[in-house]
Amino acid sequence: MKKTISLICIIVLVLTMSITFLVGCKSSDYDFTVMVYDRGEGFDYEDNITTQWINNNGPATIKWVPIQRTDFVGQLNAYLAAKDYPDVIHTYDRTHAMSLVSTGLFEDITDLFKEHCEETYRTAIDDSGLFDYDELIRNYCSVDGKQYIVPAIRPSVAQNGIYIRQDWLDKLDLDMPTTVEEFYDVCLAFSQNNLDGLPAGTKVYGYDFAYAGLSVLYNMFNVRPYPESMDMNVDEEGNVIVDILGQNFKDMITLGKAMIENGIANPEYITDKDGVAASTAFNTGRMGTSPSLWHSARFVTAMSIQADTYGVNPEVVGVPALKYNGKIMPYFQTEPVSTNILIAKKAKNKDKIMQWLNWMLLGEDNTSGGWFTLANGFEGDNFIYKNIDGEKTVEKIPLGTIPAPPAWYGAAYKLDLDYTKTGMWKFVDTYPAEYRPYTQKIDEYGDYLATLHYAHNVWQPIREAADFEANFTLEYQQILAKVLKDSTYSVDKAMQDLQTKWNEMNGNYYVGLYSAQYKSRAN
Amino acid sequence: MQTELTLKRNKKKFVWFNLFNNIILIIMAFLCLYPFLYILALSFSSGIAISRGSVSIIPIDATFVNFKVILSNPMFIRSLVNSVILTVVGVVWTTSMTVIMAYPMSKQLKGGKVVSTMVLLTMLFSAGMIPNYIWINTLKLTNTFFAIWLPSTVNVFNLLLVRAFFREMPKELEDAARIDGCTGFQMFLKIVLPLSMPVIITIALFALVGYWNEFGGSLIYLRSADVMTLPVRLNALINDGMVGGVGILSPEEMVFFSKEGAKAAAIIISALPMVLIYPFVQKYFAKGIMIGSIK
Amino acid sequence: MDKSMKKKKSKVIDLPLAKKRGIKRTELYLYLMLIPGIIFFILFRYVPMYGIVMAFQDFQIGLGFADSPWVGLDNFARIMQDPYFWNAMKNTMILNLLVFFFGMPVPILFALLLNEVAGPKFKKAIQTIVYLPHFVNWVVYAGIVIMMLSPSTGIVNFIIKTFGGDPVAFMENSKWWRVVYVGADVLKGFGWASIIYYAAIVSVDQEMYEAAKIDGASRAQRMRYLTLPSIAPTINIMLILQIGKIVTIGFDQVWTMSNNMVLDVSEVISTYIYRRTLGPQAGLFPQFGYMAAVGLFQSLLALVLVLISDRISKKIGQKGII
Repeated sequence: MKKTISLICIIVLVLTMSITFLVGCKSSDYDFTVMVYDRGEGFDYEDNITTQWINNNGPATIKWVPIQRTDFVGQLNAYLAAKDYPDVIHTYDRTHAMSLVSTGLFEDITDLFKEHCEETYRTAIDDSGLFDYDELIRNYCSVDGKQYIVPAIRPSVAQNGIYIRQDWLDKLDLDMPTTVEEFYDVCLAFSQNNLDGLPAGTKVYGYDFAYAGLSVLYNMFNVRPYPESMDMNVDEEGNVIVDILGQNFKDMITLGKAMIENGIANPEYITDKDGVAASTAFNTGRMGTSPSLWHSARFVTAMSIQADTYGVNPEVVGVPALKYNGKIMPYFQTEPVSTNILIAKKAKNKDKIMQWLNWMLLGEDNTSGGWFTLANGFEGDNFIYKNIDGEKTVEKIPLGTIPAPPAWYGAAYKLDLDYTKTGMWKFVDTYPAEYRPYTQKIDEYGDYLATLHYAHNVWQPIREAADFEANFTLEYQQILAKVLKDSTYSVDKAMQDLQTKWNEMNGNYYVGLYSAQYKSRAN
Repeated sequence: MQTELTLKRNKKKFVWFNLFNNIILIIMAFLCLYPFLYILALSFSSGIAISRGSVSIIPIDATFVNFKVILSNPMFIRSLVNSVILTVVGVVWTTSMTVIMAYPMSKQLKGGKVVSTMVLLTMLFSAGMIPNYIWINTLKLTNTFFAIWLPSTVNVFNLLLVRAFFREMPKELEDAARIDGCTGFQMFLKIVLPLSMPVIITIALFALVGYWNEFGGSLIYLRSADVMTLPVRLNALINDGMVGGVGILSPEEMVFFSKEGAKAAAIIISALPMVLIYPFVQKYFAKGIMIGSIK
Repeated sequence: MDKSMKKKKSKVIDLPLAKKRGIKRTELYLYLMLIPGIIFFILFRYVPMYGIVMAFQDFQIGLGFADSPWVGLDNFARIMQDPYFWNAMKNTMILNLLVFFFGMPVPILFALLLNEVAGPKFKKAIQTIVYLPHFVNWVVYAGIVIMMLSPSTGIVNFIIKTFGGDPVAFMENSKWWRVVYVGADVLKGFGWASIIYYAAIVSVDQEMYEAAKIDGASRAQRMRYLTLPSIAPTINIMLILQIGKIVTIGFDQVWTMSNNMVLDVSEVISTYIYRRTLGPQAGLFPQFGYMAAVGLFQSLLALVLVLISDRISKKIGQKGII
């Protein structure tokens, strides 16, 4: 009896080990590997309509490699260390891309890009009237004249903005806020009135700090929190301004603190890292504004449910950029190259990769590329073409017969391998014309464009400062969270502690390094 | 000699003491049990009830949506499967290797002292997190289960436990077997092993718990979604809020959903296997530890 | 003694070769059985020690050992000056001490109380329940603790609010965090730890207890002269082990229970190293060399402490563990 048990054990052992081996050495019938963000979501990367469609219709067969979105830099580091990273990687953070380039593991694609992509890109970019192709490539995609980055551009109006319940404003007979103070008052009013008629005792908020909430706040006060972010303000002489020690930051945390103390914002925003709780609150009438990605209108279907459930008439509009100290603070927009795509030196089929990227990003006539299907779905099932004013436009069919890929970035979306998902999602994003304003053609919003703050993300990361940046960021985050949530910790004390820490850790020296870099490049 | 009075008084003290004793024990047991009941209640409660903080021990506005979201998340299921694979193979591997090594060490062999010293020294000093990481990387084992199995092949405490057990085995058994013509490995397999089942099962169970609950190593080495195990996925869910798959809920169900509820549901699912197993195997553990402690 | 015994065993015919090496054919299989284990120890315990050279380099992953620049003892000099390291060291020791002082008595107390219980069913039930927290991992347990202490949805704050108090964010408050940490550690582990003590207690001959009872020893006296001495050796060994481990702390519990708000008390050496090399603050230039030096420093310190405590223990007459 015991012998049979041990025999069984050995068989199980051998079986499972061989299975693991086999699974590991899956057939390499793909041309190259492409990175995709793992957001812990409810679908399979290999087995869904979109990825299969891409593989069937694109010029190459690819294998997706999911990398965790949270703590992405650390995760990618581990892959790089293991020398087992995908052939195509992308990152939203240009400084990160630059540091990746400096590892020497990524290919100089200047010639490859010229050969396969330049023509289509040049046309598309110049056509958009927004940027100049050569300048774009030179400033954002190259280092010392060598191009490493394949650009993906997102010409939406702004990265982060504020949506607001216009119907709530109407109910309370309030005007659209134009200044920061007015915005605060509006949020306060929202939080004190249960305007959708939810069950008594339900907590209603005015604003939230999760996800985009804090960065919208930073923007409202023109604070670029180095070293937490590598986007820095620079004065006329080319010196980096340390915003977090300045008056604007002080005003910002005063406002934030007041928001939490007066029940306008949820103090437990820290654990809501992807903003799901916040957006759920907004969708279910428990929040009056939604600081979020401005190029997606995720709330639409949810709002219609809210309408049916509570008999309200939700109307969501964008809040125009607010004034701080009399000046309009434009919403934040990432630098023109919003997604930096890098190609590994070790990749085997680089030509195919370029062709594939070209197809994904632009397609033949800018309407049939991979991105288009990702954004809109399949004709007849998820959208139909309509003729509006003589122009062929896409009109979505709500709840199409096949669940469509969620159109996270709408018509302006060019490429985000992040969202190659379908099959499990209901079609929650419709784009009726009314909700397109913020993702529509930029021409109509020329004013906004002029005042957009494109990130000054032209920095080369400085190795010497790495330690300081890591340590100070932790201190800074601790102080920030404390001042917002702890009623016994005053704003003045926080500013003092920040200054002390900054001096202790010699922050001015490191900032000086960046200033020097800026000045030497300004030529 | 005690008089009747002192006997009675002692009895009364006895009763009071017992009551007091038992109450304290019950309180301690309650403190151990209640948190789990609380999370169980949370996982079945609606979002609104949770946000009001009114859940204490029974679910309010009971709903299954949290479990639906977690269980239909393929990434979560995959991590569950990965944990199972990691554990099953790991237990067989670790147990067999430990036993195989412990047996010769229980004999007086030439060079046995060297081996013992080599083993014991590892208890005092280890390479450290970073050198180990670089080494595993060099061996190209990152993002494979082997990064966990191989470095855990032999646990020194378990090794010593089994060795002690083997040493305790009466020599007469082996002598008798030898006389019957059975020698060497055969003797090990046919005589020694069957008799050591208690200790083998004990260390197998230690390994079971160890592999299933493995977190630190998995966090470092098992980052790819295909090999990610349950604790790491759960950690991402709880600490980084990576709750995905909400899209499968119908709008009516969405009302009941909450992130806290989802976290609670995930916790319950993760804890369930061990919670179900351990009552049945605790006697092995107790025995094993007693053997070990005496040594 | 060994040699004579070996001679007695050599009744079997030996292969000439084996006899030369002093290995008997019959024992060959034993050596073979040892080989996999030895390979394991060498390959996964000793070989990685080579990586310790990283502590003397400015190690960069892309360059590897061969090409990373050497910095000699610079990393160690940096350790001396690094306030974050010393903070982590301080936290490590404080947490270990707290857990020791509060965590050591509880399992003993529990074992003692349990021993006094008469009904076997009740005893078994209590035991089963208190073992429960040990069998889940820290991700689960810390998750439970965090959710229970949530200021808005947690039960603890709900009770506080019902009594009119203000909700306390336990997990984000530096003063409370340590309390929670120790409490969680004790609650999770006391049941399991009590096994050893309980085993020692019941190993005492029941007859001695009876004899003592007849001799009129009170319950307290029985405890003092019989029970406690029976667990004294166990306590002693635990003590030695703990002293050696005072500069080391497990990763799992601290990592799952800490958050950015309480880093000043929750950052310990293991998380300090992890965070900056493979974790969230690794940034664009993770400091592998320096962190390897930190790890080495810690291991050496732990080693020294174990040796010292072992020697002390031997000096005062107790058995050591080496």
